[in-house]
Amino acid sequence: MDPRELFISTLKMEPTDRIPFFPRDLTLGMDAANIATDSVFGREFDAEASARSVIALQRIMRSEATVGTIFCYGLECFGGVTKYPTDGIPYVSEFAFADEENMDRHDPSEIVNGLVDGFRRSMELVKERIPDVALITNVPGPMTMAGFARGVETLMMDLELNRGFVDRLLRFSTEAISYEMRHMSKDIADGVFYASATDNPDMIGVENYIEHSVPYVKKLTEQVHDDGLLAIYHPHGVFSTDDRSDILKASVDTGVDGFQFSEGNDPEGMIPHTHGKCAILGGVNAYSTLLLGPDERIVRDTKRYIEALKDESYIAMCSCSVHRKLPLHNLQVMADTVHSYRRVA
Amino acid sequence: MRLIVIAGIPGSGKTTIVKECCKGHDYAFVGNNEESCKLLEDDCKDYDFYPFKSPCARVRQFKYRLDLMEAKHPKVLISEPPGNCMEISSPMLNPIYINDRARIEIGPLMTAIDTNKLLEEGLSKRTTEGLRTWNMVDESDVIVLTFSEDISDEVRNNLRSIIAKINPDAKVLFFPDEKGTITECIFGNMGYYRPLNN
Repeated sequence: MDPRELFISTLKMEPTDRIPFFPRDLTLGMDAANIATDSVFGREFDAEASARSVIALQRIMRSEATVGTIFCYGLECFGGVTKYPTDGIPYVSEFAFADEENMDRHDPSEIVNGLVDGFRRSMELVKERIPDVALITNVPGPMTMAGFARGVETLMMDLELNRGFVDRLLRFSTEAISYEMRHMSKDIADGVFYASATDNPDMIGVENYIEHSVPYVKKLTEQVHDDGLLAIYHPHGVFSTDDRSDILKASVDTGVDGFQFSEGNDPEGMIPHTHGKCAILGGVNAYSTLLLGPDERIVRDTKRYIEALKDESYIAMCSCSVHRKLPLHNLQVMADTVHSYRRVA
Repeated sequence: MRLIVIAGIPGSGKTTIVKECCKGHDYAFVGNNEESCKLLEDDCKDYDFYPFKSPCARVRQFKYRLDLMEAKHPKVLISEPPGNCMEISSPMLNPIYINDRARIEIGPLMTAIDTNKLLEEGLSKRTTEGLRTWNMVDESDVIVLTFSEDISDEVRNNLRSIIAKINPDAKVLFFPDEKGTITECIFGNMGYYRPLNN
């Protein structure tokens, strides 16, 4: 079983003797290849430099899956502004739909532009060069895309005061995600990952989560499955407690193949609702254990998650995506710990 | 510059602690909403607040505001965590510890917990409120139990032992009774420890 097969089998809940490792490497690869952020995101997106970065990191970590491209959530196509610090992490600095009327001047299909084309080209290069590694398209979740477009603070106000606009914004966002993931995935990807920090019941409330996030995740997942791909959902917020079991169940019932829990969850609290329904992903906190080390703590925490989830279809990840300046050695210690584990038949 | 983060879920008494324990000291404040800052505007040297952003942006957002405030040269910067104050705070402080500890001295990570809520709801990973508080207790150097005026010594001892089972490193202080000790934790020499060693 090659790394890609191990990853896909686990996501399909088939029995495996090993646990795959997926670091969701959005910008850390540039550290592995020693490439500046603003040279990848230059006048045009440098797909070759992006692919080299992704592959450099994969070779160190021997990860079973990658997103295949250096990635950012910029929405210049709709009028937003993204900043690219030389050796830092890109961030959205001006929101495309801060003026809500601007949304009416755009069509969701405009997201398939030069930047997304560049991501696609990087993924193609990665697919050609390391075909035995699973390729997972990274896109934002519905409320998360809406947050990047509108600004999270304004979006929170909209949820209280401007619900008609929220409905339109979420339809627009979901349609844009749909175009983006189809364009990036076609004929090369194995699955799609919804990075969903703002699809977060702790931020938007349980009712808004059920009303707004869940139906659109379900819709996207139906499309992903129609395209023959697998879907992984990564909302932030607490899902592992008894009073949140309904929203965990609703999230799993969207049909996703994998659910990644974020920091602050107790993995054991999720098993009753994910067991036999979807794979479970997640693990060590990127900004505490992985950032600080030492090796013993990384090994201890990684083993703690493996022990808790060894009887599940478990894919080891960090608590969120990995970015520049995370010590490569520390991530490698985590990867080695995951790869040294074998299930007893 | 010395940096202190005071965490705690909304309503736990973070701003009250700062107002009562920092009066007369040279400090700047970054709150997670403008209203909290307004309560301190007569007491602190400077203030600012975090716009509400996605949880993934918290680390960068924290560093950005810190840099802006550092340029104003306060002796001590006291900050609430950005975001909705329901998540752990060490992920924002750890990058500062790794990259900037030569110029920024990180003081203890402090968490305010409403004593009466703690007594009512307890600490359980099975409830959302309980799990949040559990995670905050687990990462903190100092836990300040607020609104504790009417709590007996016996109950105080019970609360100390409940917290010690989760986090044996934490210093547990009752507010307002131990106001002076809290001030000493903020402006004295106590350092950032638990998140580095847990």
